[in-house]
Amino acid sequence: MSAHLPILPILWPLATALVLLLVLRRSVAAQRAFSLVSLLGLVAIEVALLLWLSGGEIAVYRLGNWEAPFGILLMADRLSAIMLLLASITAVATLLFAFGDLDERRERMHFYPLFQFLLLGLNGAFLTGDIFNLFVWYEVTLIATYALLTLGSEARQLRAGLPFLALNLTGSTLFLAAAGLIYGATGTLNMAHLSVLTAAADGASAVVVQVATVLLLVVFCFKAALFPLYFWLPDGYPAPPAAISAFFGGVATKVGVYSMMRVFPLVFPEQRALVGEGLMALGAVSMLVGVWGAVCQTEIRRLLSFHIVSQIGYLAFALGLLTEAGVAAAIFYMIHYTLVKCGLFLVAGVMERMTGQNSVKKIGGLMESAPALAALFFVAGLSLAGLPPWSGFFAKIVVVVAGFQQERYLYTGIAVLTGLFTLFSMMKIWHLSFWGEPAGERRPVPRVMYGAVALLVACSVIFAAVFQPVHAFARQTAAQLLAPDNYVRAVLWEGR
Amino acid sequence: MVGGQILSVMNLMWVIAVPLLAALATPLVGRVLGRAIGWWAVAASLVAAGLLVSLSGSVHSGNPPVWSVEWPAPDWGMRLALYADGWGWGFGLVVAGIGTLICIYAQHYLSDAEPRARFFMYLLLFESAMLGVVLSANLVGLVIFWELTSATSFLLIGFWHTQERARYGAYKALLITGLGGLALVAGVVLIYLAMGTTDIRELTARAGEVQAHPWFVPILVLVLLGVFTKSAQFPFHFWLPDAMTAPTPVSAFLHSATMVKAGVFLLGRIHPIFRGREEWFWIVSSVGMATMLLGAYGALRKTDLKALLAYSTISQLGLITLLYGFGTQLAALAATFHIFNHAAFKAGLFLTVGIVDHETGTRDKRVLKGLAKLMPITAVLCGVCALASAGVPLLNGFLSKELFYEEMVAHTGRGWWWWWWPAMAVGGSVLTFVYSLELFHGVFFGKLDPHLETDHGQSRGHGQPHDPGWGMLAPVAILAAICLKVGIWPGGIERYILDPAVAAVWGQPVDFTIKLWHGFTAPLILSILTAITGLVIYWQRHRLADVQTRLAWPFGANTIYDAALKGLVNGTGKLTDALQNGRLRSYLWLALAPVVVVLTLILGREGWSRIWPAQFSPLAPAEAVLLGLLIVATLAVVAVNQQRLTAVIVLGAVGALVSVFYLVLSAPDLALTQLLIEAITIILFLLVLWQLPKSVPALSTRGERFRDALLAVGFGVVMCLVVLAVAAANVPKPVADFYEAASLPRGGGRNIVNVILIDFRGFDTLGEITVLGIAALGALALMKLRRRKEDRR
Repeated sequence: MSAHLPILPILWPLATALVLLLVLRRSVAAQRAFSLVSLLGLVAIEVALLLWLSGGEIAVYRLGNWEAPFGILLMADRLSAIMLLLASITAVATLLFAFGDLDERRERMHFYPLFQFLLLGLNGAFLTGDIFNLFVWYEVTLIATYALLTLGSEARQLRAGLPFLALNLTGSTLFLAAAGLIYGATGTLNMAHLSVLTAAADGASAVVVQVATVLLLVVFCFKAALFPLYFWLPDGYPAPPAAISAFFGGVATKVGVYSMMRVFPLVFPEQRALVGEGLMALGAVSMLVGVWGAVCQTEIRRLLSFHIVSQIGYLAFALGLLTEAGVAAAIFYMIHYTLVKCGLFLVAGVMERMTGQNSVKKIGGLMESAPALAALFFVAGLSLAGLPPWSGFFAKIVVVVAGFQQERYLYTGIAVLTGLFTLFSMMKIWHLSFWGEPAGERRPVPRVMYGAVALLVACSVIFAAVFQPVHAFARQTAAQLLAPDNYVRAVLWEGR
Repeated sequence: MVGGQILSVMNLMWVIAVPLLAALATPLVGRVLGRAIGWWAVAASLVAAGLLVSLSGSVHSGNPPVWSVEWPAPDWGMRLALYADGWGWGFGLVVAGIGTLICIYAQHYLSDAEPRARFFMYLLLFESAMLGVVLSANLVGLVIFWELTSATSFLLIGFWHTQERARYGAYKALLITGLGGLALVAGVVLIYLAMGTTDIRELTARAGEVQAHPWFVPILVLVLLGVFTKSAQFPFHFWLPDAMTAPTPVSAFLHSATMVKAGVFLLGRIHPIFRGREEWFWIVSSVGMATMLLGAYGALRKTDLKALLAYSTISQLGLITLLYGFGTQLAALAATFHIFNHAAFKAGLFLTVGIVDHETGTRDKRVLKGLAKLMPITAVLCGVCALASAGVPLLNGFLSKELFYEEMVAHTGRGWWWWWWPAMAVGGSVLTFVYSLELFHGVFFGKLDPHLETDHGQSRGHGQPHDPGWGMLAPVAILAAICLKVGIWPGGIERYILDPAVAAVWGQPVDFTIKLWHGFTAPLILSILTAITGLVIYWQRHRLADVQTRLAWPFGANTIYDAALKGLVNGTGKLTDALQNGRLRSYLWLALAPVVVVLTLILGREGWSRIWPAQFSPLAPAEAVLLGLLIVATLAVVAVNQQRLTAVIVLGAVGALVSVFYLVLSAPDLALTQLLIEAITIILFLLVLWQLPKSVPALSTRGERFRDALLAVGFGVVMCLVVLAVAAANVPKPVADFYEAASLPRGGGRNIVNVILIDFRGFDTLGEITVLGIAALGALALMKLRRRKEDRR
């Protein structure tokens, strides 16, 4: 059984989506129940996978049993396991939230299967060991994201959908071009095989490898929403209902960051300098441009969306260091911020639901009427700004340590300063919406929505409490990622 | 003995845990206790103080108890470790002691309408964090607690959050101390990387190494940024007066024994590590001096008594900072002593002003006069604290001020210009003397404003202003008694608190005695000079006011802060609007233009010759014709794109020509597929375009179109070159060879492409089919939900 574990996270949501679509189409209640149960099952599978892989094993699953590098194969390691679990925990929270938040219209119009399809795309991307297959999962993710983004057909959703689709399709086109070039220059698409071939490339094929590296960097930056490729995000993410944008904000952009972690050290081991410098520079600019975009917003979820750009900047910077400490910092930061960011989006969702407003200026005095929500926001907001004793503080510390270690003073300084702007914008929400005279309506909010927020905030607190083991695990993960030989051995020698 | 040691170690942990747990339980306990919840907080603070007292034995024996937990990162040497050396222990005692008094006072001060439980919850949280700062043995733990004091004081300062001023003050305090907190974090990280540890004791032992490290100056500057912002030192002093919007008990707590004192506490903490370096002296002492003068001068300009106290706090903190900068034994003694003295009299003064405010409903010194008649006890207590602040003999402030003068004079031997320091010290003290008199004499003597006697509209007491109940007087009385006790018999305290504290700040035991009378020395002469000058100025204070009005600075730090925040929001707003302008063309340009530039650079660097294929196959005439047609058709699309239908049809022609290309290159299946897709696409396009206007208006200027053309051509050329490079590379294709060989025997199909699609790479196909399915689902939702909406209309 365990031999087939790596493909289960792909088959499971696919099967779930089909059941929801074909069998349970008529009953929203059944769809809800089945989605949740299936998701919990997925969590269990992924926990098993994590336990299996935490020792450092690299699981290789050959589809159709074609030997590498000829067929497509899945490749699961610590990072894949982390990403899978992170995505499904976030999914549990957003799904619970959606039960309370979504209108029946959207539920009937296939929200639940679409959600599973999105999960399918993400999981596929987290598991594949083939560069073209990664493109396929990008497409699944993209189209599912687009369908969810526009689900409901509100004017704003449709308006945001166009730039979203146009820019992401541009990214896809570049991805396709890059995959083609890579195949042309090396004759293979298998990541581990590429690791050997790109390192050995010379002459014209070395040039093509460089070009493909740059193109893939652009593609992943598109997906991750790094400057100057993020423009689709701040308009797009706030448009759908809160549950959907929370999942986007938490997980969807991470697939870009994941791909960077996976592809650059493994597929282009000789291009580290080029990739590293590019990522750090783009990361530094993104940190500032993103947070500056956030400080001037008044619409909560749009403000949070700009923050994504800034936080992705942190990730890119830490990752761009391409040291063990740097990559480990990026992984830890990603875990922290996926949970916290999703939690904040959900807080925003509760605020909107309660007051019927989405602008901080039109909401006020929530601390008196919703003290529990205030406490949750306070923790999550300060965590995002990097204040102790929550996960954000430690996430920031590891990034700063890694940056100073490599004597990247300017970029690290920017990372530190970005924390101040983040604090500024979080407290802007606090002092306008939670403090002050009551403003906006007060409507009842289903309890399950609170529960979803609490789940994520609790995760952030727990990650601070177990900082050392989590970080140690991130460190092992980074070490594994930065040693491509292990993958080559697992795929090309043992995988045969 | 061992058991006792363990017990005291656990007590150390409980010092912080008790207020913390009490705070977390407050919302629940509050439901049971109701109005009396303040006593819960009193009890918690008292327990914390008692636990500290129970540790005194091991502190005095020079064997401080240590408690540590393997968190957050013991592997890195980052532990949450607590220890009670003389400095932390003495400071903690003051925090918990004054905390207890503040809670008693607040219990009587708050009106019934206020959310009491929440107030005491914040207060206890803050107290716990503050105790954590002073007891931390590891800089990481210290930083964590440090930031927690910022966050919790934010809640306290903004307690009356419906008032705009309270929100403004809280926000400002958080931003400024948050800035310093970030600098401190960066500094601690540098220390960690430089020394491999963040343990304070180890760093103290290796002070020489720290000072010799090339990162010393950056570390110093970053840590000091943390200190200066927290302790409201120039130029970060301006947040403190706005923090006065907090309820008065909070102000009393925050600005006497805690919060702002955290900065000078840290200064004392790192004193044994950093002292002795020139940079330390110049930065710390100069900033302290500037702050001392500026604060004292500012205090005189204020008419609101709380604002006056705020500036006086700034000034006193400046004095302490100045002293620590000197880095001598005497300076360390004077500063440490003054911290404790200041805590006592400043807390007393804040609480007195709170009483006056509570009773009269105003804090305006122009209105408040002659109150001694109505509230004699308050007057006496205020007198003691104010005169202690002024530095009058028989009170504690006098003693530390004498030490201060002594230290300043001690350096005059180095050259005449060193007289600058005692001169400025006297200047600052004179101003301090004057504002202290204003607080006491000005408020309680003179002619009583009849308005005050009769108008109770604003008063929160009942009837005529009078001395409040014991609950508000007792805390002040205790503080005043301490001022007197220390001032007259400075014997006991130095044994108990000051001795170990000074030893810890200096780094080794210090032999000293504090005497009230030590002969006719220079410090005493300076003290007399201070008092006489002060009295004269106080007598002529209306003239001083005139001078100050004339000298009034047109803009201060506040103006800069406000302008900076406004500028930040406006500036970022403009930048964001420019970038996030909603125009797809601009997004694409910003995304793709850098790609073209970078790729061109790469190709250029690698040399064009490397990517040029060695040989080309000859161009057949049919191919040439096809190519020409293709180019013409593509250009035609550009030309007619304003006519939607025509453009789509021409686009279809381009697609068809491409499929002919496939045919020529002997790939009939691909050609068929391409043709099919083109047909479907055109039909879909036509169906959609049917609903839209036939032509598109010209939406772009010539310049824009030129720019776009540039980008398109650039991109095309670059990609074309790269494709040529692929041809030039001409690498072996083992995978393709395998497919060719294995397709029939192992895949069971003669059409290799088909076998690839359904077998070798069938997984891709599964994904692509799913994409189509999802797209269909999304399209269905788009159409259905839209139509439903229209139906409703």
